[in-house]
Amino acid sequence: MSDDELASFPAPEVGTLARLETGVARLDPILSGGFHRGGTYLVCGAPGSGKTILANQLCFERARRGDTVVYVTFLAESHSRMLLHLQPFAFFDREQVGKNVHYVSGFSILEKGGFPAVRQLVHQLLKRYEPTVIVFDGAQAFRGFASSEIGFQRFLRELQAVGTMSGCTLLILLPDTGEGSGVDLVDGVIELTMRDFGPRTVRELSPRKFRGGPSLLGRHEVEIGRNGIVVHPRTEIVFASPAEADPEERVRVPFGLPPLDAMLDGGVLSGSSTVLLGAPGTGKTVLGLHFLAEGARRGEPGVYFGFYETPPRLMAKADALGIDLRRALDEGRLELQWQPPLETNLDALAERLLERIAARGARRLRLFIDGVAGFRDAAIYPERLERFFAALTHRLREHDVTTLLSDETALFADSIDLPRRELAAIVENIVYLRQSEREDEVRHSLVILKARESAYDPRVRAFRIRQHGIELSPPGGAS
Amino acid sequence: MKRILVVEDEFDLAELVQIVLENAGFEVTLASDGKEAMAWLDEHVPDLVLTDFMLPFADGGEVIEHVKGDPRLSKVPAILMSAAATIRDGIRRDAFLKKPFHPSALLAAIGSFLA
Repeated sequence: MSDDELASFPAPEVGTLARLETGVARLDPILSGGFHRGGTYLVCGAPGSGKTILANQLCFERARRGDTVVYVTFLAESHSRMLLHLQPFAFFDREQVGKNVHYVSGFSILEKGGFPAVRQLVHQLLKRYEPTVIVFDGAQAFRGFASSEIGFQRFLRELQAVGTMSGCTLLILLPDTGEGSGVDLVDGVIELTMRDFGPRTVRELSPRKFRGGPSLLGRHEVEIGRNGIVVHPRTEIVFASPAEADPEERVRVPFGLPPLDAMLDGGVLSGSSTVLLGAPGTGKTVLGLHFLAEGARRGEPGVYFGFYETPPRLMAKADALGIDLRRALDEGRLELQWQPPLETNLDALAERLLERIAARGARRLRLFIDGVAGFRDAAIYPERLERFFAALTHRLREHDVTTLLSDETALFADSIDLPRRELAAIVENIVYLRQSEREDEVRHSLVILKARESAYDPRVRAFRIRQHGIELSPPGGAS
Repeated sequence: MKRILVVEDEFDLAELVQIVLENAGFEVTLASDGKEAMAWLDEHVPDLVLTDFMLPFADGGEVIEHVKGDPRLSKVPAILMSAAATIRDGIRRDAFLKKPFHPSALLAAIGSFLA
C-alpha cells in the first residue's frame, strides 16, 4: 500500500491506546479492557472452537454502539449460512446487517489479484465505511497465495500498518495455533481450543500474547450459549491480589446451638470459612441450616448455595426439623441458590456465587455452601482446586461473608480422616461430624479439629438429630 | 440465448446460481465485485442484472444505479439479492430476492422479466 493511500485514512488519536470493548462476557477483563483500537490480532483455533461466533459477537456489539464493522470472508462458510447460524444468538441483530455490519467475500479477489487486490479491497473498505473493526475470516487462504512464509508475514505486517494508521482493529481468524503466522508481528494472539476431558468436551480461551497491557494469561473456560460466547476467567487469577485487612471488625457468629457455640468460644469468627466434614447422613446440612436460621433470627442475611437438594426439598427438611427458615425466605433475608450438579463450569459457579453475594450488598452475611463436591466435580483440572478455594474464600472474606462449607468423607470411617488437602490449609475452622455403629444403633458425634485464631473445646460431643434439629450432649457423651 | 450478469462475491453461491441459470437455458457472466461488474457493463448490455447487495469495492446499489443511469442499460431489469434486513432507500431495483433463496424462487424472479 502506498504512502498516499495510508495518508488518506482517517487519522486515529495519537498517544493513546484506546480500548475496544468486545461485548463478549468477561473477555474484556482478561484483556485489560478489550482489544486496542488499531491493533491487529490473530484469533486462532480449530474448527468449532468459536472463532466465528466470537468475531461476529464483537461486530454486533460494536454495531450496537453505533460503529461500522466489516466482516471479510476468505475460506469460510457463506454469508447466508453464517447469518442463519447466527440467528439463535441474542447478540445477532438482522437489522444491523447491511447497515452497520457489512459482509463481503474476499476470496475471489484474492484468487484473481493476490495480495495487491486484497490490499486494495482493505483500502476501499476503510475509505467507504470507516470501520472500527475488520474481521478476516478464513485467513489461512492467505498462506496459499503467499510465495513463502515470509511473504505471508509481510502481508500481515502491511495489514497491521493499515490498522495502526486508520485506528481500525483487525481480527485475523486462523484455524490453527497461529504458530509461524506472524505471531511476532501482531499485537495479540487469542487461542481458542476444544479438548475432551473424559466424555466432556471443553472449550477454552487463552491470550497467548497481548501487547500494551497485562492480560490474564492461561486457559479460561468458554461456554457458547444463547448469549454467544461467555468466558469464565480462572477465579484464582481474577482475585490474585486479595486485600490483607479484614473489611469489618471481626465478631463471633454463633450457630444458635449453645453447646457448640460454647465449644467455639461463642461461635466462628465473622469473615471466616468453616468446613463441616462428615459422611453422608451425619447432619452437615442440618447444622448448616441451623447456622442460617440463627442468622435469620438475628436479622442477618443468608445465602444457601447447594447442589444436591432442591429448594422445596431443603425447605421441607428444615420444616420437618423445626428450623424456621420460611419467614426469612419470604422476607428476602435468606436466598436459596440451587446449582444442579450436572455439566457445569468451576469458575461459572464461583461467578454465580460472588455475583449473588455482591448483588445482596449486605454486611455480616452468612453463606452455607452445601457440598464442596459440587465444585470439585466441576473441575477439569483438579490441581487447581487449592488455589481456587483459596481465591474464593479470600474473596468471600473481603465481602465480610462468614462461610460454612460441607464436605463429605467416607461412610463409617473408623478414624477421623484428614480433610481434603485443598481445603485444610485454607479454611479457618474444621468441624468433624462422625457416625459410628454401636449395639444396632448409629450414633453421631462432633469434634472441632481446628479453629484458627480462636480458643476451642477439642473434646468429642455426641449429638442427635431430633424433631427440633440438632441436640448436643454434654462433653464426654460421645460414643 | 438471453445473457444474465450475476454479481456475487461468494464464489460458491455464484457458481451455484450459474449452474441453475445455465441449466435453465441462460448465458451467464459472473463478476465478483461491484467494480468488476460496472467495468463489464461499460462494454456489454446484458438482458438482466442479478446482483448481491453487500459487495467489495462497490455495492449492489451502486451497480444498479450504474445500470439505470446509463441510457444504454436503463431498460435492463435489475434484481437485487441480499441477506441483509436493511437495504438503503432509493435503489431503483426491479425486484428483490431475500437470501437464502430456493432455485425455484430465483427462476421465478428471472422468469417474470425474461419469459
